[in-house]
Amino acid sequence: MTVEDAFSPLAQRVPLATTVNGRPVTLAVPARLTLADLLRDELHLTGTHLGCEHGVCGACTVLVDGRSVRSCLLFAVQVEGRSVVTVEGLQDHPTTGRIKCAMARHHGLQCGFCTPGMLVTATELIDRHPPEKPLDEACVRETMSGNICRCTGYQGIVRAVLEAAADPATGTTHEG
Amino acid sequence: MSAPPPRVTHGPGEPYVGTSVPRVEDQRLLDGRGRFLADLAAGALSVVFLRSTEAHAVIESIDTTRATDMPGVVGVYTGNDLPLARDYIGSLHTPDPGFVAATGFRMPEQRLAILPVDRVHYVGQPVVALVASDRYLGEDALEAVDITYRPLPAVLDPSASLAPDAAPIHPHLPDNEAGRIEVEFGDDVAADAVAVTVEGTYRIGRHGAVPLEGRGVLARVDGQRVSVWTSTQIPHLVRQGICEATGWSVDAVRVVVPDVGGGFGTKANVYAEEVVVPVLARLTGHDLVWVEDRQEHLVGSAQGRDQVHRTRLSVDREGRVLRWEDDFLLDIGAGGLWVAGVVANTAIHLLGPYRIPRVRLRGRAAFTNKTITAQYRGAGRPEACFALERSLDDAAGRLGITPVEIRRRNLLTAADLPYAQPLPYRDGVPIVYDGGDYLRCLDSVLELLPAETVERLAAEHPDLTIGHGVGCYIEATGRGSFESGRVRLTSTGGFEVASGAASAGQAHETVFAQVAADGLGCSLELVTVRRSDTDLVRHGVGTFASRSAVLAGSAIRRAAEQLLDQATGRAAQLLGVSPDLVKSTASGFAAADGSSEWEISWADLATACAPGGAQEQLGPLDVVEYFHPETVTWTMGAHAAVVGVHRGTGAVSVLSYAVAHEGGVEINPQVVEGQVIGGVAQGIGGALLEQFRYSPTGQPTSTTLAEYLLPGTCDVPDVQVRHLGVATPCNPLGVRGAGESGTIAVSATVAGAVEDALHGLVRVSETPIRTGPLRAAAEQIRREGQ
Amino acid sequence: MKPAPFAYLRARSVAEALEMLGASAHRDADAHTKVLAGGQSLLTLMNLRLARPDQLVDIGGLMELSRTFEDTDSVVLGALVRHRTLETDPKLGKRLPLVAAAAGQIGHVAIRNRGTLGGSLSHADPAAELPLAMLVHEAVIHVESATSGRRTIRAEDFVESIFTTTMQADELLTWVTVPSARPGQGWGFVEFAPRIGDYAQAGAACLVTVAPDGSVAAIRAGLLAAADRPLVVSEPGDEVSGIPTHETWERLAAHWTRNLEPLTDDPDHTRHLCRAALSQALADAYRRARTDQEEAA
Repeated sequence: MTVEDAFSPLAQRVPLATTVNGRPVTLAVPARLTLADLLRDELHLTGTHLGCEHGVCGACTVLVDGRSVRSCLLFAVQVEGRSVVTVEGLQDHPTTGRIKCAMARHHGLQCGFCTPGMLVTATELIDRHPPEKPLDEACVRETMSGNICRCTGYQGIVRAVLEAAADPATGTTHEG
Repeated sequence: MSAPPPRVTHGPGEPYVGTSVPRVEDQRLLDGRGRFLADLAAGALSVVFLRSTEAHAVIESIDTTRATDMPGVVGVYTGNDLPLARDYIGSLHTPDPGFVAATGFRMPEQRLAILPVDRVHYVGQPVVALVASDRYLGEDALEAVDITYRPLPAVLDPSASLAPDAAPIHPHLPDNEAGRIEVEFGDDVAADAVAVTVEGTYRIGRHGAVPLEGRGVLARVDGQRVSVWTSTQIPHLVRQGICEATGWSVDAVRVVVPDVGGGFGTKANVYAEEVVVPVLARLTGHDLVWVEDRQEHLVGSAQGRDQVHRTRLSVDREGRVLRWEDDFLLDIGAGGLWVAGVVANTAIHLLGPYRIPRVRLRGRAAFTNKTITAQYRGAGRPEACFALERSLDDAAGRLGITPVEIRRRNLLTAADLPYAQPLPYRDGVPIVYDGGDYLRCLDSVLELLPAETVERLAAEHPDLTIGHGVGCYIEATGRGSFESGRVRLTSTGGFEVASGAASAGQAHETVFAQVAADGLGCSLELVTVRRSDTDLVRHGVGTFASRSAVLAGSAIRRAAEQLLDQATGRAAQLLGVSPDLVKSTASGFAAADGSSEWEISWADLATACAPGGAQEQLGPLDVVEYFHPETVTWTMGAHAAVVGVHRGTGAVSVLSYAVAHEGGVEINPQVVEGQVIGGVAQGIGGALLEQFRYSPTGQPTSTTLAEYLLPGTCDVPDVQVRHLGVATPCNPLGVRGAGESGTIAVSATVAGAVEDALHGLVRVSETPIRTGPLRAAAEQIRREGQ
Repeated sequence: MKPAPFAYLRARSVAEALEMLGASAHRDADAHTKVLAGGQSLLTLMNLRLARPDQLVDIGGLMELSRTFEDTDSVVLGALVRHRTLETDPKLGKRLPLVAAAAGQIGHVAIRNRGTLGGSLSHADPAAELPLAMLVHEAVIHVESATSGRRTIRAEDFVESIFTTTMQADELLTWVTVPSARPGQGWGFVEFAPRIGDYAQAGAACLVTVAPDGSVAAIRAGLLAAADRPLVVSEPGDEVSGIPTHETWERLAAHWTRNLEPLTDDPDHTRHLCRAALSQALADAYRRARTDQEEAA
């Protein structure tokens, strides 16, 4: 694409080839479409929620190449060639399954709007945490501090993450 | 009468009420399969609103020509383009005449325009609605709407607003008084009885619900009807608001509530957008959706609190309260459809859980050019609590007794309760606290979090100076006038339950199923609770004011019992036995006459009721019940906090927190505990972090979540909760409301702990608590300690 | 809260990015072109429509700028090195512990997973952590342009004022050379914010070099959020004689913050916060230096 072609912002649609929840996605998108809106409006993956659209609340958190990111703070065109995983794509992920069970047991959700973002952040936390060093409450609270919950006061969420991290052996797969 | 202790698991034959059964909602929400308003948007065109950039101004002109020509634009609409029967939304609450007579309550009619064409009253007020093919193009086009404003002076201070010479903000009113109340009782106090009189001015900042999901409206036209999906707590009142504004028949409007991402009061309101979107759907013939974004929410959704109390409290030598006076002001912004409720709540809850012989209260609400207000979790109770509890702490300090001791000497005990106040409640019924023993809550919270905790935490946190605080509250819950409950047998032998009380995270699908299953004597798995829909229950009120478990729960319980009663008769008929031989079982009915045994399942009964069945002529088993409580039932509680003030910065950390509350029967103890803990978290936000700030010209400056600070994981400690159940005879379930209990006393409790941490060197008299003065005091302590 | 439209260019190499920046600067001086790296500040501003560039040059795919090189006395960091890498990479953490600590204070994990060093420096937010860390480290910033080639800018000269650097419109920040921690040097980084991850109300970073006898050989200290740019506040003339105590750091911090004119609602309170942060950072740095010496001994 040349500079001149690109200079009609409204008309410009950028070709995009990416992977979402393991499936290749090829389409053309407006350059300004955010990743969150690509997932929700184009791919109908509405489990990723928009709570603030300026990177504070964490409800829209997804994984890009295995790392948590705010999908409201990425343009869809920035995930060219990358792998995006949303809460829907974590359906069979064992860590997420354990967190889900623990969240339900510990009343870690009420309205459930923040929950998908919480699950993504907690999944990355547990999966990437060095196994020789058990997660403590301070670390869980600090890592989860970018995800706002307005309902629960966090107590159940923190307990659930600690429980899911502590004992992978006894965790049962979440029945979905 | 004590409520039975909560059970964690459910055994065979035991009632479901009282058991923490897992939440039905969790599965879909955890899997990302919740259906929130924005998730329903596919296929709809986008509505976007141009909002006032002026706090107070005359609209000189609105030119939509350029915007209409922008790409993707379907139409641009001002208030003049909307075919409305009435261009404002009416009050949502009017107190009972008995209450009005006893308190001199007055309020004028508010007529804030749905889309104003002549005058704007706050930054964020919707002025122009624009329909576009998507939100991106819609926001582009909004920038091409040309509005000329002639600014008027913005009134931001409620005292100035109520000054005799202040110009009325609303031209149809003579002044800026939005409501007033006066309460006085008891005999004058002999001067020589008074040991200490403390006076104070207490300010409770403007903060609000700020649910993680904003509001949103989707409208679809189908022939003569419009269906409206809206993220609300009060679908029937929204329907009423739409019908009153449009002149449409109630039969022509259906309001449906999808999954709602938190409400806390701001969604227990009827909004202009909820009228405009269906009107435009009818005008354009398109399915339309408006999804509020966070910036809109922080200027356009109803806010709360914002009160100033000027108090005077007199106690005798023993610390017993003799006299309590408060003159309070509410800043309701440009309007508040619940002003009556919040004004009355504030006054009533100023009476507290104490013996107070002499009371004089006066309250006034003022219009200003700030964002509209509604109820926010507590709705006057936290403000009243702050004024009274802070005054008690002050008096205790002057007398040289502890904050705990002064409360111990004044709290109502088992000997006092039930306790009548010489005042009617908002419903006109004389107030009687129907509690068990309020002093027990204070004792209990101190067992959970004794003052000695300070020493342990001080050792753990050398950078903090540590203090302990307590606060008590009273809460009227379960206000009428009614709520609906419907239970019907489905064609496959299951049950569907519906109610006007919409869920915004309170687990209605779980707790109402528990109530219905007990009433039906059936297995919980047979019961499905539908999300609120005005087509499912024709009448309803909604979820707010800690009322759903009490009112909707009771209505559902009665509907279930009636359905069981009817079904028992039908089962007997089908079995050909006498009804008194028929017993209900988890799956249906059984009968035995000594020699023979019969069984009939709910599915068999459903088949019999269906066309072609033996009881077709009897019709479906479907019961709607309305529960009208005689009056409210009262929840009381005590909070305790240990906080640390950072020696270098004055920043406050809440290190430990406990709540002991006297609620009623708990339908689902884990859900109740979650409500209390979540309430505490919001209370901490209001005490320390959250504030809607305005510039001197009325420009809001808390317009992002980087400026309006919600508490995060590191701002809220674990909260210990002890439930001291006292069943109430006011309703068939014996439940009391609990949705607001966690929030009410937090500011007062944290403030007391902060003062204790700083050895009384500062008086905390406003929220959010400012850290500057705390830092100065902490430094002074450090200097003197050296 | 959707961004205004813009033209999008995806650079496949540094050279191509420089071409794109040069072409747009050449074609239309008024057209506003921004470089898109991690986008964590830019997208926030664009979603709020507070920033509305006409054109974005996306350098996110330039893997070469994600690399790091370790030299004897310094570490060379690519502009696209993520905050999370600075924070958690054990090798970088050993060479640049102050930078690791500063990076760990930025926003939240999901922000640090995306945000880049070059993006943070170019954004020039006076409350940002990495510009201060680079200033205290006396880092050297490398920039390139298609027409004028490469040049280096000392961190001290890099920020002009709030959100403004001394880079030209056609220049791209490519690499940063950061002198690594030396033996006897301890670091301190202390930041105060209303909540974890919030913009700092005050913050201090310092490197304190300690002689084997425990006396202080050199101090370099700076503050964020205290002015329209990160500030160096240490004054070489202020010698610390003998073994420093708690009071030494308090005194120095008070002295070095005495003339601050912070641009906040409550400058006096902010000054106090700066002083408290600096005092604690100095004490931490000295303690760390001593601990290292003891461990080495």
